[in-house]
Amino acid sequence: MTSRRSAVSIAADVRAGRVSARDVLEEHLARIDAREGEINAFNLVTAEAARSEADAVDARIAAGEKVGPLAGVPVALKDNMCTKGVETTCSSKILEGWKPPYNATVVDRLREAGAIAIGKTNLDEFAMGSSTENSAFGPTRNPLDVSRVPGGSSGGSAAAVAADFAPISIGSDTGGSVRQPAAFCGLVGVKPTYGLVSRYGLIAFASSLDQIGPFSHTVADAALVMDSIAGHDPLDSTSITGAAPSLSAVLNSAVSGLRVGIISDLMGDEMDPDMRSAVNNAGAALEAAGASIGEVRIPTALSGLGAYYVVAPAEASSNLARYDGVRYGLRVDAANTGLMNEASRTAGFGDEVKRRIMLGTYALSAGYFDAYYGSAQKVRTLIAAEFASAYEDFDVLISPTTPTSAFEFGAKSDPVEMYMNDLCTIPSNLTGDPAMSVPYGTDDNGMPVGVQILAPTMGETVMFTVAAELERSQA
Amino acid sequence: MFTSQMSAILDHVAELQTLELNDVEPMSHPMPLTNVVRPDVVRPSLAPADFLSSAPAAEADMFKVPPVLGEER
Repeated sequence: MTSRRSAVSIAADVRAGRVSARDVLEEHLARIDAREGEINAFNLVTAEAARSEADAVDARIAAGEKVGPLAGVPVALKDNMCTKGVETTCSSKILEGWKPPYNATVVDRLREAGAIAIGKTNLDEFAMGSSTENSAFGPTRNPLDVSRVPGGSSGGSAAAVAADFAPISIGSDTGGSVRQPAAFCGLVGVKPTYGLVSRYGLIAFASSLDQIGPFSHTVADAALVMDSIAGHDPLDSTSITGAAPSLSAVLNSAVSGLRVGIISDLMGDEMDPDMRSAVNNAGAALEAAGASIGEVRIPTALSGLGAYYVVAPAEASSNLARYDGVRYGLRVDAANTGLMNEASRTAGFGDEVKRRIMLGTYALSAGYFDAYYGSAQKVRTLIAAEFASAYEDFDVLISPTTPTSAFEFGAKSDPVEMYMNDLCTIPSNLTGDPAMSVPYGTDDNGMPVGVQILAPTMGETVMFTVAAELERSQA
Repeated sequence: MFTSQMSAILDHVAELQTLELNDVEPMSHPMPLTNVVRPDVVRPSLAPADFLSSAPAAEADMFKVPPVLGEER
């Protein structure tokens, strides 16, 4: 395999004319040709469109025109981001064949930055899952060990980067769907502050939790992508109006004096010992670099899982009502519209999606609303208050990203056991705060381990500074 | 299958009700947003045909569906 190059170095080389965007693209397409049959990272590879985009970037450089910070960098897009005229499926039969009439804002911003979209990546159907086993188009395999899952729901985006099909990719994170697959595939994965990246054109799962974020091999690449996609978008009324931080600028900042808290409630028996020792090692590395380390309690953190599995299905049951066989997607004909809606959904949705729609409608139904949805909303408040209090004493918090490393296919057939994967990542979605996973060593099986860095709302600057230090400490 | 799985999930979620939540305000969203409005000016938008082209059935600038009433199961 040719040596891996980072997005930062590819963009610098393309801009300087040391390599053409087209040649960079062809290298990546050749790797896809060689290994995609085994990995199944993509629902669709848009090779021809990518070739014309790359040629256009090369033409602009030849003409002496200014190109963006991601010029010539191939990027893989999770297949729940709308791409104009290009099939967008959410890995569901109900959307199979649908071609959106517009681009997601994140897709436009990547293109404006010069990135070359090479395809749409596989996911758990409608982003519901933690292994990419729930895709209607077959599972994605972990490039580091094909007997294991890549994580999910953004498993295809993680696998695409881990297999060097693209140096960067985009995922969405509703309960850990970027961070968990990043940990499983040995990558950096970011869940930004809610509202920092526009959700316009991201097909909704749970609207108060969904955020878009990047996968990459390096912290600098993740920062470069964030700098290109973050910032206010008038098309998303929940997008933050202030200026987005420049994260590429903070990677060499010192961590000395920073107060780092290890979340003791996420260091219990639920976590594999290898995950816990990675966190302790990361803490020691930050201490060696001048940070102070302490323990912090988030007593309600573990209850976040229960709250999440009420809130997310409740919001999903509302969002997914739009798949009715009327305006787009699958229609199964029947004698009247009601029967047509039912037949279309029965045929179009997979089991996990049906499970969550039923769970959500149940939790929202009149007799059970207070007991389930009402309680979950209150637990959300408790968790947010506990984090706010922790951030009075600490600048960032760290924890394992996942309870275990990547597991084998079929290992978690029980839904509750599968949901446990999200134990450490869910709290940040409930609060809206940013969090990211950085690879930190391997476990007994030689699989990568992720350490999660959590920061207060709009705390990306300190989060990336700490991430960069953790990366340097392993160099 | 769904029935037993759903009760296992609900059993797990029921743990929430053991927490002391009486005086806690509910949180529905990470941002304390109320209505976000923009100036009421006409902006360009996609043509109806752009949307109707992906509909399972359409006719005369409208989505076409089977009868809404009748033929009960």
